Amino acid sequence: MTTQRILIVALASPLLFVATLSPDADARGRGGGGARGMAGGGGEFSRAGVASGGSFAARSAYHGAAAGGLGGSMGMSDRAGARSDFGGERRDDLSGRRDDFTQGRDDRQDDRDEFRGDRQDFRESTRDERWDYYDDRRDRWDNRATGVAVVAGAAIVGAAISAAAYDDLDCTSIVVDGFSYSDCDGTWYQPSYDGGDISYVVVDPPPGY
Amino acid sequence: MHAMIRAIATGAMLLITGLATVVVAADAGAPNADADVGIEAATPNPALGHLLRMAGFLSRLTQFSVVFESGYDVLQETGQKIEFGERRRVVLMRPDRLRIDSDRSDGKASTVVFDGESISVFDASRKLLASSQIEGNLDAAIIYFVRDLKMRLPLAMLLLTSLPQELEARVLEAEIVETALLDGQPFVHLAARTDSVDFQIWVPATGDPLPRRIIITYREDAGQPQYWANFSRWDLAPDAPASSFTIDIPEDVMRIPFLAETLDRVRPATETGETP
Repeated sequence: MTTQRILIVALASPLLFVATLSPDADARGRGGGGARGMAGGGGEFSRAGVASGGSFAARSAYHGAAAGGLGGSMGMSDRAGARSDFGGERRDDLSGRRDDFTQGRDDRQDDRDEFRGDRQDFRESTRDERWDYYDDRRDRWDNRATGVAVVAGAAIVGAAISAAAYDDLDCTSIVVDGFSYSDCDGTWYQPSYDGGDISYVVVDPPPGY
Repeated sequence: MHAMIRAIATGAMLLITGLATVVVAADAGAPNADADVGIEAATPNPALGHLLRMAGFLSRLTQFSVVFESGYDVLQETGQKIEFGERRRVVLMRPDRLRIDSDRSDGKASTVVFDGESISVFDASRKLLASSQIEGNLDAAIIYFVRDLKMRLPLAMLLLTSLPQELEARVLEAEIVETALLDGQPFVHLAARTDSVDFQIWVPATGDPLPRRIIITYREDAGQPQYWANFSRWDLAPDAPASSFTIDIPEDVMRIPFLAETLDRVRPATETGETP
């Protein structure tokens, strides 16, 4: 009986060993070398995030972090404004449909609309002030996001690519007025300190090139 | 509740100002932790009292050096949260000298130096140098570096002489979690909230209120990433000759601008999406 147990354990051990290895190997594949975990287009995990700054203030993505690179940012005040505009369109639409009603009802409706409009204006004014208040509170000197979005394959002046993406390009570097520029197949880049890392910004050709 | 905290903080700030004046009059340049005990006792919120005592003490130091090991979470595009680490050594001499040497967990090393006239970053690994002139004291240089150049300087607020005012303006709630033993020594574990982050800080229960550990949680961001740092080797009289605040620049160094400067040059101001 004891011999049988030993035999079963001996036969099962390699299987258990393989079963134990499998998830680990899978995890390594996904996390260490797989493309799914990559960011910045360069085959590396991104080191940049809101917590990397170690700041006592945060402007989350919702509030415009990492904005401005290609499309500008939308802060809370802008969003409140957008919502107010949308509300205005809806109210206009509703008012248009009310025009189909009888004149008498229109008069009463106009009175109500005017009253409602005043209340709405007051609410929107109050809300905008509240959003502006929060914007002011969040507008700390140490919560500024980097002013550019790093994108892959960017060729628009003012856009940027990561150092890892730059390394994949075929570039010739020159120095003009003490600063470095790179000509990568006709697109000119300038390396720049971006937070704690280097980004390559698309620039106009330096003078004389 | 917030109004009450703010009123308490304001009162404590007035007390700090008064006590600081007394301390400066008594012994210019020398920190006095005992003076801050009065702040702690006079502040109805004990947690806030501990915070302001620490802040007042740090802000009055004329010089110090400290090492901190730190880590931070970065949420990847896949939703996977990855932690990175680094080690920083700070040497600060007020009013206008700063050197920070940092070693990232991937082996890359860099140095930030402010010499009273310009602030520079040197990446020894890649032999890159960026420098920008800034007039003013260290507070101005730090804020310029972070706000205008948009450079990374973790825990920059702790380096400012305006730290008490910064905390007063930001902290909405503060509580004592417990007295925690770290390496066998008692520390007051504090938890505070601002309008955008939560932070925890451990300060000694007795003696100089130099922070031992800090954790910042970015609660409004996806994944609620954290930044943490453990402080060690506080030295309030560091051996820092003038040469400490210069960078030995190799001949083959490549000069590069700060990104904010590059963008200012290549884009109209209205496209940066940032306010001045």
